[in-house]
Amino acid sequence: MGVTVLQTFPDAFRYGYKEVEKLHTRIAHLGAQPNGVFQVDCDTYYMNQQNSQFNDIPGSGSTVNKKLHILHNTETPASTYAIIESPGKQVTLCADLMFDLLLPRLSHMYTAKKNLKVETKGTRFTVSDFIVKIGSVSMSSGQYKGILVEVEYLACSVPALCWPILREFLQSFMGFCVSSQPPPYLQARFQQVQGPQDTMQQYLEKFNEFRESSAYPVTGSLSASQPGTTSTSTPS
Amino acid sequence: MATTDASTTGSCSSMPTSNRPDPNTSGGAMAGAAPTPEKLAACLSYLRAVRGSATQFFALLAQQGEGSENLMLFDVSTKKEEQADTETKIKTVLDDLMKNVKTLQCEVSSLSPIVGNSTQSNLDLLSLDPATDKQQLHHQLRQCYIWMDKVYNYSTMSHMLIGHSHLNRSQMPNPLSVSKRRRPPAISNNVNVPQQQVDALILSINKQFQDMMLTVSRPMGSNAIVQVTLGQLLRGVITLRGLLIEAVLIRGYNESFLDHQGREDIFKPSQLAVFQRVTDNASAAMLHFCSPYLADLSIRSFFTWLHSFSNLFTEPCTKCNCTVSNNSPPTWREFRTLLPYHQHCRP
Repeated sequence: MGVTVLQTFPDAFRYGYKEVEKLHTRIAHLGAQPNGVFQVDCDTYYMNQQNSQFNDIPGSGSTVNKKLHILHNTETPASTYAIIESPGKQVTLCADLMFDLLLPRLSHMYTAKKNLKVETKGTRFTVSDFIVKIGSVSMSSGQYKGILVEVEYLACSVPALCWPILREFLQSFMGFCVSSQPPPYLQARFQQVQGPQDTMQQYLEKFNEFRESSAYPVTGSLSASQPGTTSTSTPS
Repeated sequence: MATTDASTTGSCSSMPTSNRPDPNTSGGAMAGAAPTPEKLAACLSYLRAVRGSATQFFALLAQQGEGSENLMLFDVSTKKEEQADTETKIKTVLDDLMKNVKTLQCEVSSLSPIVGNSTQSNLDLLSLDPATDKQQLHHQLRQCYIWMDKVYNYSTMSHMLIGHSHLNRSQMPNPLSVSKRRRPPAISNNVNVPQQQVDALILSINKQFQDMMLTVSRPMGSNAIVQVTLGQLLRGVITLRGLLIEAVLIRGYNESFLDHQGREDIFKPSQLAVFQRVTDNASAAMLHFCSPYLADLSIRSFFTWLHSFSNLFTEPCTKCNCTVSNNSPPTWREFRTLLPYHQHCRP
């Protein structure tokens, strides 16, 4: 497991499919070989109101809305990641796939918000020691949200030791949308060894950003963006 | 058989009588001294005299037997006379034999025993080989030794003569050749070095570099295997034979270093392209730094070179000023300056 960087590719005009194709062409120029498809999805559960007394912050009198995110990644197909999110704190649990069957029993505690399910699908590329995943993010309703590029460098597992090479590689096919500074998540753990859970936390961070951006209504038609999502999910 | 015995007896009995007076006197004078060839020859002649008189005695006895059978046929009166005659004959021969034996005993006791076999060289022992087909060997070997001595003498003389005349190939003073001469004599045996020496060397290199950890293990006998961990960047297995580096293998920090039996895996190459290239370059560096005469220096130089990979993914190439080129970081380090270069940017 190497260092993973997640980067949002700007798609201001909601071209979707076209932008993804552009990235495919650019990465192919670097000698990348398509190597299957990938999918990362995220379900979000809210804690029920009747149990909100557990969420009271002692002394402050206010209640905190705790969320439980269930994530799956095709890169680690036998695992389910459960992340409990409360302000300023994240608890990550890496469990077997059977954990999903446990969730209906927790229905008295957590309620699923179906419309908040978000996923990214796309093609997986291999370039030397880099693994590049170009995925388009969409909500469960099929609403296109943007493009998310994941680059993993297998040869190194500490961000501080390989950020220059990762930055240069990202800039080589994504241009200057890549900041010269590492993402805040990596910056906070710059000297630590990265694992699969760090990748999932970065995904959750990005998914939350996309969800927040949905507060602004998207005027683009779904039919224009939908083909892009479906075409990238099929192996080429 | 009887005829040959008689002839030998006759020839032998004549010899001791002529030699007898001399050795008796000389043997007494040289008692306790080292055996001379003359003395040994005298002893041998006495031995032959003893054998001769003994043979004479037995022949007389045999004749006596034959005579008694004949006497049975003749008159009994002559029997007593004949018997008395033979008795006197036997007595004289027996006296002669006893005298010879005594002389031999006296002569042999005067010979000092040979002190050990150390005085005999292998060449002497070869000369004693009774096999007839190998008797020639002694002579040939002796000739060989003589020629060897001659060659040695001539070479010593020629070396002295040439050494005095200062005729070098190049007339200009060569500082390199002078420095080579001043060097201590070369340690040619770098393969069989004590384990403590290897351990001490690795320990000193370990202290030299703070972020590089070296661990010595010996899973396959006396030859050491050094495991290198460079920060959180890479791991290496270096197989030593004595003080010479035999093989180098570099793998990623995350890659397993144990095989399925739980031992150090010194053969399986890295799965990552970067470290495969670094392994290739490290093998080249191993050959570059290899110096059989200054083995410890070559190991130190190699580890100094390997330590320069601590900035493998962060330092840009000296030539193209890029970190990534051909999807690979600068995996080559200059041997002297330790500057990073890409494979295709090498000077």
